[in-house]
Amino acid sequence: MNIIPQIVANSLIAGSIYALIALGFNLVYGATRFVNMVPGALAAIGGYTVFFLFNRLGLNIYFSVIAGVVVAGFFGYLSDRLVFRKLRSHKASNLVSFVASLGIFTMLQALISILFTSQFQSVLSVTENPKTYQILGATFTWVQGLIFITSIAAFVSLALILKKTSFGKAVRAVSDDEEVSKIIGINTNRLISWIFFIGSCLIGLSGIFIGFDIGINPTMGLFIILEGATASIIGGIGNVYGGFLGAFLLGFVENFGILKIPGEWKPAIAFGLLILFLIFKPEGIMNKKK
Amino acid sequence: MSKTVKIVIWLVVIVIVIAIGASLSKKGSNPDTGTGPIKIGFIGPLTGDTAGIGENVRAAVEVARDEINAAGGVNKRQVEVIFEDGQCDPKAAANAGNKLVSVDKVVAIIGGLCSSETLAVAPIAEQAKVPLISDASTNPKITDAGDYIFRFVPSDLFQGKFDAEYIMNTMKKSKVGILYCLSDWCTGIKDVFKQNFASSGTVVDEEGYQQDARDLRSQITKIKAAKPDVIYFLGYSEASIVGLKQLQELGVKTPIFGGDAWDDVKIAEGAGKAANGAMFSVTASSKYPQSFIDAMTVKKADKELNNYSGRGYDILKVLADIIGRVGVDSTKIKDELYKVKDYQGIGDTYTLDAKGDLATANYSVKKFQDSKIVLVQ
Amino acid sequence: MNKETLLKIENLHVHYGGVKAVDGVSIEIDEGEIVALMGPNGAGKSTVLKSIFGLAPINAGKILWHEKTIKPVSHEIVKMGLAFVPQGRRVFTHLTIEENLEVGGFVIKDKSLVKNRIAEVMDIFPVLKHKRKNKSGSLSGGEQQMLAVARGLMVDPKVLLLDEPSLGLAPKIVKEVFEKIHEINQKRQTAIMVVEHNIKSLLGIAHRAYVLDKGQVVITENHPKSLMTGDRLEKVFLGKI
Repeated sequence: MNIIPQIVANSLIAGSIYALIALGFNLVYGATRFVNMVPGALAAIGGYTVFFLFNRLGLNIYFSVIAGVVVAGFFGYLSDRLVFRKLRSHKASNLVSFVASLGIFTMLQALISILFTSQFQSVLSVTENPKTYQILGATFTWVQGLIFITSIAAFVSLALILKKTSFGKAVRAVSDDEEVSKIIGINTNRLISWIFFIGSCLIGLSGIFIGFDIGINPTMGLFIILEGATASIIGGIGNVYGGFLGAFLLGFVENFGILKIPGEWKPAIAFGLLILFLIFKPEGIMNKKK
Repeated sequence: MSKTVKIVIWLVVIVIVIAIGASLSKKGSNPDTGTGPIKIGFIGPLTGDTAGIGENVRAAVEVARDEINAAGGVNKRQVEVIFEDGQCDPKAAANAGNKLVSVDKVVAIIGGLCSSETLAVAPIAEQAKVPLISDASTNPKITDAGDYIFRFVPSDLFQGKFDAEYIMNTMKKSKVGILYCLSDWCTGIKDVFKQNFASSGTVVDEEGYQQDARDLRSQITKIKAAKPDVIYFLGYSEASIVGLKQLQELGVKTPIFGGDAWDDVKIAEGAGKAANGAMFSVTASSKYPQSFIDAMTVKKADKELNNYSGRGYDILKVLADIIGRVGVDSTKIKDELYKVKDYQGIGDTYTLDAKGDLATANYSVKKFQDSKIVLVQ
Repeated sequence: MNKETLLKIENLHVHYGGVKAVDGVSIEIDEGEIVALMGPNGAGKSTVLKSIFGLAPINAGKILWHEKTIKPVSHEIVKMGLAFVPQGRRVFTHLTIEENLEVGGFVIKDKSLVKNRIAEVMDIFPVLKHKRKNKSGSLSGGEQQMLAVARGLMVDPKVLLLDEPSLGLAPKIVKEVFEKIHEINQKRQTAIMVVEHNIKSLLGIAHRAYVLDKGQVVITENHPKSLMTGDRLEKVFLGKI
């Protein structure tokens, strides 16, 4: 049996999840220019909100997902409003912002562990067999198909917003030059808060999808950050298109890589790619060398 | 640096200093002086993966302790069990072992549960001359882990052989694909299995995964492509739940066989229909006496009764008996442990060999059906 | 001629962590005039402009717009009709020329007005017309400077502040830039304050000039051309006044 179609399918699914992470990560990085660890916790918050509403309280799945996305977005917004905006106004260095983000990330993760225990949890029901589809010799579940479609839709929507709307152009202006954006009349603090909210919603959604596809546990954030950061750096950090490309590239390299390498080396592949790019092409595929 | 940032940094420093101070000032207990409670340690996964099994064994040990103390204790002293969380992780277990040995100064330790825990604590217990008796660790390496290392569960030299023979002779399969975790237990039993399976079958593919991996699709894809007629799937609870679901998602219809770590109701419930029909070996155990089941029901632990809970109970009872006869000297306790012969506990009948292992082993086969575990033979 | 004073800075003090960058500066700009603000490096010229836009902290003094004191909130100033083209061109490099101009009209609610303005400013700077779809990061230094000024004009400001528009440009391009400044002033009656280091050619188009040194106004001149000869300017730059 030719396993190539299945590996392609696995790559696309992994890439879709990484793409959502990279989209959110790049949006925020473009505007704030420091490595932010909080998205790791936000993905877990998204997943756990759905788990709490859907699994524990038995609420409707669509409502739970929307709530999960919004809650994650809200926490991201809060992190800007309460912490990062103040650091920006004091002209704190990127290192300080990174350390602050690390603190917030650790705190939120600990909070989730306390509320939900550190056990790994499944989100979707296990009493029914999932509907699976077969295309060209590859098998995938309807959830995986949904993840793929949503990821593409998110990317297209975001690209259109950035390119066509005045909000989107303002976002791009702020990520080019925050000070000049203020001068021409953009309320940059408010805009950046929106950027945090939208980016965090995307990341919360990625956590929800991971929950559906595999499951959730409080420390899932580290994995999210590793894959998201790698995808973003490969594609070109701060570049929305680059992040999307890098995400799928990462998915393909990881899944095709284990054809030859033992499966337990999969996480090492992400690290390896990251280091390769940092050494040879740190600006990523889509960015021009400064 | 702005004021806000400075304040935050100082707060963090203060918190760290207080935490260090608090942990240093915790008084180390005195060695056993012959009065006060007899201290026995316990190491097992109370959180994380496999906590379902660990918590159940803990409850069983508590039941044994309560019975002993209600009957007057040992040598008119109460028995106190100090429970530490090994997290099925060598580092956490080693820390737990160090604490029990140097701070609490226990006279014996029940544990670890996971083989990785036991192997990590063994050198510590051996050096401190504190007997370590495991209720569930089956890795073959434990046999030679030390003079003070014992176990009330058979080595996987038996289980790997049993699994291979069952698959070859009873299931009549000859092409196996192995999916195994990279922990001591998984690799140990896998190696024994392979040695025994080579006689009349072939291993068509072998895929490892990190114990904490939660996405096994790549490995499953490769195994599926090798077209085995049976899949030998070794893993602890969380990865097994994920793996069983992903095997089903990827359309794998091959029969699945696992090891004794699958004796966890959480897997049956977590994997649901995806686990239907999957079988696994466990050490054969007699039916637990009703009094034990009742005591566990009081502790709300009756739903997740597993094979090891009875062994944990038995270990504490044996220790109480030994201490009652020879006192709390660890070397004397160790010598008496080697003499355990035909002890009829609630979990098994135990005879220890010269290496501190069980001399014989009997296995049953169970399977998952409709979110439950049922006996096959 | 009774011209209205549009922008007035009264006794401004800006202290940056112990350094008195601006130490009691009072300057003003009236309708339709070009005012030159010159002086050596560190004289405080850029800081004066930045403080109007809330980008430098004001310790004392007032800023008045149409005789009313204002509190500088960075993104609110441009709505009043006051535009700032800061030092170093600073176009949005990832945006095209057209997008730079669009975003320059961010505060204009009527988007069709924005479109018209873009056509207008492209008439003033024809070089931008041909490259309108190009990313502004690919333009030459002079073209970027034109774009930055054009972006500032998008709000049709009453007062335009330019901070060292000649910086890093070849003399020929500097000449073109100053010609454009003159043209904008003549055609649109825009009042323009130009901060420059030491460009005598600026004095040829200015109506008035201030010279700053060490945070204070040392020369106020209503006939700027007279500074182009003699050595009064040189004395300031050599620290002799």
